[in-house]
Amino acid sequence: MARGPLSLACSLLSFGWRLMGSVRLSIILCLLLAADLAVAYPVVRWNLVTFVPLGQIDIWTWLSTYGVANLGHTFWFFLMLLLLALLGVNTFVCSTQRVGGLLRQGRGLAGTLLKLGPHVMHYAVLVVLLGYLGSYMLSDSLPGRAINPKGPPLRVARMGGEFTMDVSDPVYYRGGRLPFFDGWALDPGIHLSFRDKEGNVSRKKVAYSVPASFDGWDVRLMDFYPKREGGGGMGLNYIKISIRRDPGSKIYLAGLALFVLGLALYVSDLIRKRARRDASLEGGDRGPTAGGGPGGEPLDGQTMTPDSAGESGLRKGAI
Amino acid sequence: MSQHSLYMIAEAMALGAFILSLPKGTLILSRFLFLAYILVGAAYVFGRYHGSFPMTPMYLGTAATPPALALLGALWLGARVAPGKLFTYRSLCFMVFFVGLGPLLFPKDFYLPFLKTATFFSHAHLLFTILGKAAFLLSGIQALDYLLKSRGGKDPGPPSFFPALVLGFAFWTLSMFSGEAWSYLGWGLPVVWDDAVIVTYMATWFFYIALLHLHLAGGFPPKARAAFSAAGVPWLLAVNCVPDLGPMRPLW
Repeated sequence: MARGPLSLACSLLSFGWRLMGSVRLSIILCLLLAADLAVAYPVVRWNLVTFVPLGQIDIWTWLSTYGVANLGHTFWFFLMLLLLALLGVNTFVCSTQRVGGLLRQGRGLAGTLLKLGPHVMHYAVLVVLLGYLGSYMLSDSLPGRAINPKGPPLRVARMGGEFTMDVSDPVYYRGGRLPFFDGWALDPGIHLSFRDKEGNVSRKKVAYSVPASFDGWDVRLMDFYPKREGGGGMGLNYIKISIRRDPGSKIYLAGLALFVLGLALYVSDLIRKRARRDASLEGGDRGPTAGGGPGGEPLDGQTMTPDSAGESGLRKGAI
Repeated sequence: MSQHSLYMIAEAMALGAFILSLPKGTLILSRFLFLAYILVGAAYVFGRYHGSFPMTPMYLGTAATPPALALLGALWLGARVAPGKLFTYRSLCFMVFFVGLGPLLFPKDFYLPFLKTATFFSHAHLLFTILGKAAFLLSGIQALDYLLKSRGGKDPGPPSFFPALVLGFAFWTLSMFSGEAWSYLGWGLPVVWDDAVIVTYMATWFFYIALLHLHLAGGFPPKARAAFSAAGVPWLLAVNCVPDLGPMRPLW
């Protein structure tokens, strides 16, 4: 019987779904990404100037300017984007297929939760990638702003207000471990005050790696002078700040946390299996079911390889 | 005593432990030197840390990997070296000495304090990197042992390199994530492109994801997985240790 176009499309979709869910495809894509990024190191190392603007402009602008104009240095970046896109689709399909199978097994809440560890990690990678994409596409950056404590306020039209700064309780390095560093500021004690259009003032502390949030914008300290107690140097007295609004950051930070949660579930499951296996070995049960896989369910539905039953090297040993 | 002298003493101990491990009669001496190496290596790492705290000691990664590898290896081997694990022990001694040779011959130290490293995530990034490298190297050594034992169709017994592999992957992931959290807090960016070494972290992460999937997918023979794990050693040395050496100093 001749197959209609709808049936053909369904068959093609089904074939594509199976193909994109293949673990072998994941392995190939990961190896290609590893090779691509290893090749990238010397290229980036000796052409940093091409890549530093990636943190200042959105990714499309970068690709269409620096990227296209320096293809000899950026070829790996284009390839990485393609491979990451394929890996993203592959990860989603692969995980969704297996989570469906896992939920149908009816292991109970605790058992299912521990078995979900690897899948949580896979979905977390997707969340992180989406967050990165959002960050590189949608972030709004106002870099290179300087404030002088004795100068006029820094007006930022995009934020609809102005900043002033003051210094209180700076922390200086003391001690002989780094003699040349004695008296240098570890924390310059900088406080920023932001006055909006309505005249509302909020005052927050900023330091290296300690950003402050004002009206949805993150303000980071990028540099400060003077660096030493009592001034010194050439009498410079100002700070440089970076003002940035990044809707993607919350997403990728959530993805990182989700991945760590998945990793914890996965390791818990490994430990539980090992304890169960050791208990059954002590009880004299050395049958083929005593082992269990090295790390969860077999991904392709095969029986786990029997060699994995004895992987207890970290605790065996002393003779 | 300077940190450099301490490092040289540790290297001499690692070399001594390796040489004395070759004849079976001096194995006890070798073990003694190996344990002493761990103490001296730990003193070196502590000294570097003490010297730069609250900042992170820059470029400590490769120099601190051999003591971490020795410690993980000692925990794995236990109190005595089993006859079946003699090759692993010798390889461990050699690897500890060999990896330590790089920072000795091509030091890459950065004595100016880098204030942005005075944060929890920077320290976590460095410590997890060191532990990750050590666990991956241990897994590679164990895999090499497995491959040698399975020559000529012999049964090498169950492979033992998987736990160290999972441990290494967990450490490496935590290292990358703490680096990303540090990057977000310090620069507001998911990836800071001021240092090319970031791509080597990602490269190794994908390499070991592929390897983990080989283990978990089923259908791949243990020898193939062992060969892949063993290949992780030259990969890690070339991709993640060489950039930590002197000639690869950043331009800034």
